[in-house]
Amino acid sequence: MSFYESIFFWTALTIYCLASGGFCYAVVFRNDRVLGKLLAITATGLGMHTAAIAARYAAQGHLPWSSNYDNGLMGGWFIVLSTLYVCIRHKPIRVIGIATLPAVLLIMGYGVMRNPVLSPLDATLKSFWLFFHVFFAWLSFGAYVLAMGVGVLYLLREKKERAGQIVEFYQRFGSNDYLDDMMFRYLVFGFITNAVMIVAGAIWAKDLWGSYWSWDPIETWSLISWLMYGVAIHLRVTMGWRGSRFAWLMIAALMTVIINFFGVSLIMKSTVHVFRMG
Amino acid sequence: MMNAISKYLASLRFTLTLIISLTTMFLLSFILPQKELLKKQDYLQMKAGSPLFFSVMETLGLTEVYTSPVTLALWCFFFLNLVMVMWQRIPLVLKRVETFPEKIDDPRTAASYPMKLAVTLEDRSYGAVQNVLARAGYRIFGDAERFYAVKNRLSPLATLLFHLSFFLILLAGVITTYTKFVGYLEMGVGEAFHGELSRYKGSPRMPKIGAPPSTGLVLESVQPQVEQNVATGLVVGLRDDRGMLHTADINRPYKSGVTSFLVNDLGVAPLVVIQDERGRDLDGAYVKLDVAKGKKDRFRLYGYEIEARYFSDHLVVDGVDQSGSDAFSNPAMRLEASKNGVMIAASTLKAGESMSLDGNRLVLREMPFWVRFLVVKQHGDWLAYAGFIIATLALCWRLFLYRREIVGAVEQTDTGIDLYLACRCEFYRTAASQELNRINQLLNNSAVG
Repeated sequence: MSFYESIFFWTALTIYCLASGGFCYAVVFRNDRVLGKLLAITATGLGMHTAAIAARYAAQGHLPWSSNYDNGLMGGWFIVLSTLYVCIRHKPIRVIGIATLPAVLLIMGYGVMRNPVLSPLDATLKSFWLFFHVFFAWLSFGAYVLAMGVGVLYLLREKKERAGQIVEFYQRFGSNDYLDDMMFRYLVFGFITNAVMIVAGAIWAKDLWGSYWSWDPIETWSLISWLMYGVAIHLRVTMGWRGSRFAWLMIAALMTVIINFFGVSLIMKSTVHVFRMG
Repeated sequence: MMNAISKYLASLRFTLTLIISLTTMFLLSFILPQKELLKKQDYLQMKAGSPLFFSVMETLGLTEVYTSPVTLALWCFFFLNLVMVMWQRIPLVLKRVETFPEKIDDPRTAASYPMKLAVTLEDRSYGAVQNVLARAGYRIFGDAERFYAVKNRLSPLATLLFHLSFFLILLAGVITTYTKFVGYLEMGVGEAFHGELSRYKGSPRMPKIGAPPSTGLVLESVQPQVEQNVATGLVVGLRDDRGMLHTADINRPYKSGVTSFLVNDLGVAPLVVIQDERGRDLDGAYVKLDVAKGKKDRFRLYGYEIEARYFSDHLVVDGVDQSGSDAFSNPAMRLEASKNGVMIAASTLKAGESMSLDGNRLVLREMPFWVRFLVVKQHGDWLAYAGFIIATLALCWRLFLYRREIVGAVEQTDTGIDLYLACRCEFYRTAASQELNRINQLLNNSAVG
């Protein structure tokens, strides 16, 4: 980490911590008056986060593409950006930060504990297709996290409704149908960007390893994730899975993505994917 | 009985079962030791530790999950299911994208259209409604009394297209499998290659259909690039049969037709010469050595057995040879020569230096690089690309440009003209009300305009 990156990174992380606490407060005490302030705090955090990425770019000459820390830094940035977009565009679910910001804290925290060293871009990563591959990976990851976040809101609201309680705070999330549709929208966006990510990766692999598909553990796991979300789409479209069942599915399916990004390279040393461990 | 089986084989339930089964098989590859992922000696060591377990796993093909009979059978069923589902669905999808007069329901009573809207048009006519719907992207059928408007009418066709792309990718996979040639070729700087099979390292994988590559080339230059101990490039200059110069790098293979030369690895190929005491050359050769990253390699020359170690950025610390970094800034080579098992000389040399050797001299004339190419020739790439593109476009078409349908009626009343609309959208329940709100907004705007 460069000096300035380190300052911006830790400031952003601290702000996200505060914002996460604020979202918890808003949900636990059902106080939506603080949400506007929380969004402003989160936006400030995103500004710091962007500055950290810029400082890293300035120090190493390329965007953070490759290591676990890079994934945490950029993946977190995409999730926070998506969260703010959702908060501005879809006001009823602007409390979604309760689910997405802790996820950002986890992945950034995990990343910074791995290997935040500055390093030039490895020759294997210097590919036009890398930009597509990684960019769409983050887009899909961000969308899946949002789908999970809306799923959490759905379950929170539905739990109260099942208990026969109508809580005004939860009613502001929008109707159940609205939340249900939002989950599916983010799933669809994630699924399509995930497909583009796999395709771009396959084309890249052809020039790097000589084969579109090599059953590398991370490749395989990304296929597993994509298939799981494909199953989710089929279950909804053809078998009518909706509501809480679908919300749980979104939460469970996210596990496959988290394992893909952070877990596989921990347990499978034979992967040819470059997620540098430091 | 047959009907029940064929019904099940063509069901979506079976599709889901197959996807989950395939996923389970892939997951097994993370749990069970896989031949492809382990080094051969590690695999054999594990096998020796649990012979019974491995014999069962090997019998079931579970140590090579991706090509095991179970996985292949699941893939066969997957595509069979896909064919049967598509066969069933083609007429249904075609029927859905056609427009029939019976689709024009009464908007006030149509149960399949969950969202309804009634507005007074005041002084506006059916023509204004048509204009608004057309501006919103709808195609309109029928007349003022009863009409049907549809947006993204052909969207269901994308489902067929998406699944068709699977067959293209499958076909590409089959073609590449049968036509694929894979071989490793090591070339030193200045060396020529004319497609000779004997030049490949080990046994190349020969294509079942078609011929191995016949591309000829000369390796002109090799320029490894290292920054802060990270290999950032390996620029290779190649001259083809027609004398044209090409550049390749990691991630940027040299392509000649359907043959690709992927830059795979780097080594040093020093020109080692043995001279007699009067300086006459007795023997000499460019020796391709696998000495990257501190590895040791051996070669024989003029009866001497020589062990070599390479230092890309040579330093001597406490009398010990070391590499200060991975940069190729000060290359040197440690050579230890022995004869009949007895070491007779050892020295660390740079290009142009020599050492005495049992009455002779060993001269390290130069230290050029060699490069290992992964040579791949295969057909069917364009089919794979077509499959990828169709799959991506079809997904976007189907899931972003989903179908929206509106039925409507315009009725003259004592107070003016009433418009009744009912809407439904694929996939999203709330999208229909949003769509009606938008149409209403457009109608209001048109009134203001």
